[in-house]
Amino acid sequence: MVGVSRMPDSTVVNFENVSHRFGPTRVLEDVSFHVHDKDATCIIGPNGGGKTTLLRLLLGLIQPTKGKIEVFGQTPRRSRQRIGYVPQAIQYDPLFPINALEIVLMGRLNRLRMGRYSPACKEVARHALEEVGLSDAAGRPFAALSGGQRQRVLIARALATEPDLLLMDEPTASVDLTVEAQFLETLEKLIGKVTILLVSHDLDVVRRLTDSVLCVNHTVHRHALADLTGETLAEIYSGEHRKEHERKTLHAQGDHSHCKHE
Amino acid sequence: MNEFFQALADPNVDFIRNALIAGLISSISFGIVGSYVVARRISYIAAAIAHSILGGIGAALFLRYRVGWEWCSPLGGAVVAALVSAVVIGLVSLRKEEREDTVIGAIWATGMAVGLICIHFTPNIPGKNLESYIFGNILYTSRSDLYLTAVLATIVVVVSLLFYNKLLAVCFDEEFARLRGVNVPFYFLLLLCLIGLSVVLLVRLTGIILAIALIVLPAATASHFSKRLSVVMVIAVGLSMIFTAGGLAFSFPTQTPTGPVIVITAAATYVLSLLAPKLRNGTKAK
Repeated sequence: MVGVSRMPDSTVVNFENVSHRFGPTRVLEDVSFHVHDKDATCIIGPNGGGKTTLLRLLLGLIQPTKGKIEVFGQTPRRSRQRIGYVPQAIQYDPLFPINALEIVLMGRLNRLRMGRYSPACKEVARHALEEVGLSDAAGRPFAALSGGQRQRVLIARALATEPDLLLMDEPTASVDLTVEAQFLETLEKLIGKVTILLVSHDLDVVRRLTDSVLCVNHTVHRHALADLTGETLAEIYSGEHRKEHERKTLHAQGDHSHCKHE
Repeated sequence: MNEFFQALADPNVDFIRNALIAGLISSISFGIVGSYVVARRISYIAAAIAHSILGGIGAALFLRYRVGWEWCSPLGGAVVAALVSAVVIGLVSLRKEEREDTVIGAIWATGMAVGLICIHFTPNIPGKNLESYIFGNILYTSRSDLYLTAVLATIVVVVSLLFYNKLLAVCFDEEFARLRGVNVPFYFLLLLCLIGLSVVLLVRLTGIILAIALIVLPAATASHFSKRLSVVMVIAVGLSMIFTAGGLAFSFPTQTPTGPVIVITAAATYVLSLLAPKLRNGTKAK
């Protein structure tokens, strides 16, 4: 692990009045929330609601138009090394000549010695593959893995970074139910050990992992899972509500009265 | 074929030995760099760099034979042009503000145009120089070309092996590499510069127009036999050496142009490697 959090109040992620726009489009508006050390939090919300933007801000890949973001008490860019990021497997070139272990080893890229991975790094990578139940597949080409296995390789890669914060973008979006069950087992073992932030559309996944969700739809609100009634979910996901939301966003520019679920 | 081996053994005929040694040495770098190019799917960038270096060759010929700068060598000009166009294309590709394919096409043609104009205003180029740069003529390989080849090939091999893990990561997943603290723009530009230098090695062998074939085809063939980049590289190096030596051995006694013979052999092997598994499956199915 890369040292202990310096924040006295155990806040790992802190967003303060963060807004982000792409050109004229406001993606996130005056967003404030924080995540505590070792918490597991799920992020839900409609497509186009700003979930991916939120993750990219957290990783320091883009800068907010307004507001302040702190991760482990520092800028996201400086804290990057402590974040294990799991993107969606679907975006990779399936023909790329690489095997599972080589991908997982990328989690140790910042520890190369003379351009080579040390035996200790290889051990960490093998252990990470074991954690996701893929020890047998270490030498298998990426092309020969199923969608679910590819996703688990990416999770192993994030684990190989020995992260203090694990950030996952819809890790179960392209996997079948058996794999999802395995994945949840893996993840449950990590709860309480690292801070977890997971984007998911799958309410079963959300329910298994946490009792607290962040709803991202241009604004961000925290909900207790028990409060997520059908009505609230409809509000988050339904097209009608989203249209209404966008209309209000465009016209009122910062008027928050349209978010009834607070 | 016998004639080829006799010429190789003849101590008075050193050009054929130079050609073979240059071809074998530079095969090591095509195999390695070509594997990156195929895996990262940037053969169009490699092709643009290859064509644009005619600008550097033309400028060097102009400066040498028209202006009288004796120290200007065409291959030196090619090195400069290859590095410049690699960096320009790389920066455009990284910025993503301008349409990448447009800029690549423009550099491709502009480089050639500059070269052709320079050569037009340099009437007294000795020998069949222009054609030999465009289509290659490995039998023109001089001893100093041989040294340059050895130096360039060493640079390409050492750099691409030393940074293998980082280049692999940048090719497979730029974003993750960046998150792990890898300077992605630097390594992408480095890779394009290595491509540029490899293309320069190919100027004598196949000429700039056919260069892309020998960068891409051995690696593409090799990728049918392995799904690990390091193994693909080893196979691609072996194939490049066989194509180069075989092409030379065939073209010398038959008086056929070497570059095209090498390229056609490489292309035929690629097609075979593409069809072989399908044919085998086809017979199994019956």
